[in-house]
Amino acid sequence: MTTLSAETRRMLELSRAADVPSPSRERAVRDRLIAELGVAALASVAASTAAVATETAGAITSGGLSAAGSSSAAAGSATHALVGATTSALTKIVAALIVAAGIGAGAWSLPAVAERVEAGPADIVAGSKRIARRAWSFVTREEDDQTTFHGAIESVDRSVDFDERRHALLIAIARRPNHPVAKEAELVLILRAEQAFSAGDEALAAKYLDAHEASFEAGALSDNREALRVLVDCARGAAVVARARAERFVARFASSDQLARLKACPFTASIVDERTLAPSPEVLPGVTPLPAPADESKF
Amino acid sequence: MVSRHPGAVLVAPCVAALAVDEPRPSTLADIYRDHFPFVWRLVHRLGVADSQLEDAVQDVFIVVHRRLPDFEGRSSVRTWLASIARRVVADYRRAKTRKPALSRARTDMEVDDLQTAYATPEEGVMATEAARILYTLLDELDDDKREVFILAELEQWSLADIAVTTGLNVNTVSSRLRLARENFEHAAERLRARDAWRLK
Repeated sequence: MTTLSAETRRMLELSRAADVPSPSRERAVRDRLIAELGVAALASVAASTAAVATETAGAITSGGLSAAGSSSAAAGSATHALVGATTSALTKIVAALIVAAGIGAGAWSLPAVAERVEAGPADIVAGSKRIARRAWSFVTREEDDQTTFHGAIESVDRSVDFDERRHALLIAIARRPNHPVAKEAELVLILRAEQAFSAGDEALAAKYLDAHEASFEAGALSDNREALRVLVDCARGAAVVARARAERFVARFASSDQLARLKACPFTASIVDERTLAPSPEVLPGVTPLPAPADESKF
Repeated sequence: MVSRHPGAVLVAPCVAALAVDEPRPSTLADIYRDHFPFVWRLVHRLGVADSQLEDAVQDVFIVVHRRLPDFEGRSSVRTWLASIARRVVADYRRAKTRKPALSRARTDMEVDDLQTAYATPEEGVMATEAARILYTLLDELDDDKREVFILAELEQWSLADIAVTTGLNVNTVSSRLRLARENFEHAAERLRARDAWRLK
């Protein structure tokens, strides 16, 4: 017997239609690949984004990006191309982050980003808008022109609320022009950790935070990571650990905007309050701050 | 998503885009975009359990990413991917014999899992049932015959392409395919006979 019966062939035909991955499982694999491969996987996207930037943005040389990708041999030539591009650092960072963070999910709006960069020089604004449109088209797979750009926005699921936190993280990195643009993978890990924490999965949040620390120990979002660690410990009820971590956070990131988040934890709120109420040496030169109470040292 | 913790913030699922806009088959992004469904179903059909499917597919693309600079394009991308997939699946099979797979059945289901391309619910049920029978019957084949059968009958590959992927000569592939068809058909007949007996 070298051929299959008609009945068997019919079964094979039917089964073909059923054997396709669901969109959610496809997304799961894609997100895991991003988390696993990080910089390297995103480099190609960032590089093509940079190529667009080169065409459209101004001629501001981004010396601050000279370190981009140097920590990752796997990023290879794509990252090299990125480093070589002569365009605005802010423009490239915003564009790469738009792609990396996947605004196609509709989590936050493109006009909002464009609005944020309005404050910059005119050429940066123009370049950012153009690249943002391009990035949007990557994700939505719509044509990249002004007409379909608006259509693409409308086609995205609007049921997802504007994500202020995600936006803030994006802007936080974009404001640090010396940060290598290839490290947008950092953003992905922190967002994942935040997402897991929001869902009540502290273990998963800790896993993503560990992954972030392993790859970006002193990264641009290291204060976000450490603040979230405090909250994770707090949620687990680990009061002593949370307080110790909060103390270290206050010492290390005294001017971080993440400091306020620690007030949400009952174990660490007092530490933040003490810190914010303490006189600053810069404000009162010559005045030595009071030592911490003795019973605080056990934390 | 409702935030459980006072310090938690709402963060929507992060869907990072791997795709790029230009057709450049030399990038991981392009390969992922164009061939993900193929890799997914091939890994599944080669015998990786549903609970490990995402892990295995991820592993395939990690290998692809690592070996992409060495890919010279002498074979088609699909042939190359199939070669990688069958090695990854072989690793999973070996691991399975050492340690049974953890039960990680998917209990959650997202909305888009429920979306189907079927015209009617009946069609969907029939296709799902056909897929279940397919996997039951594929499990009756040994690994060598299974992969040849999948590539020939389900992916509609030529014997030459199968030979490239498996590293066999065409005659051996042809012989295996003949045996695989026989075994598959016999298994199907047994299944039909069993179901007919049940319905009596």
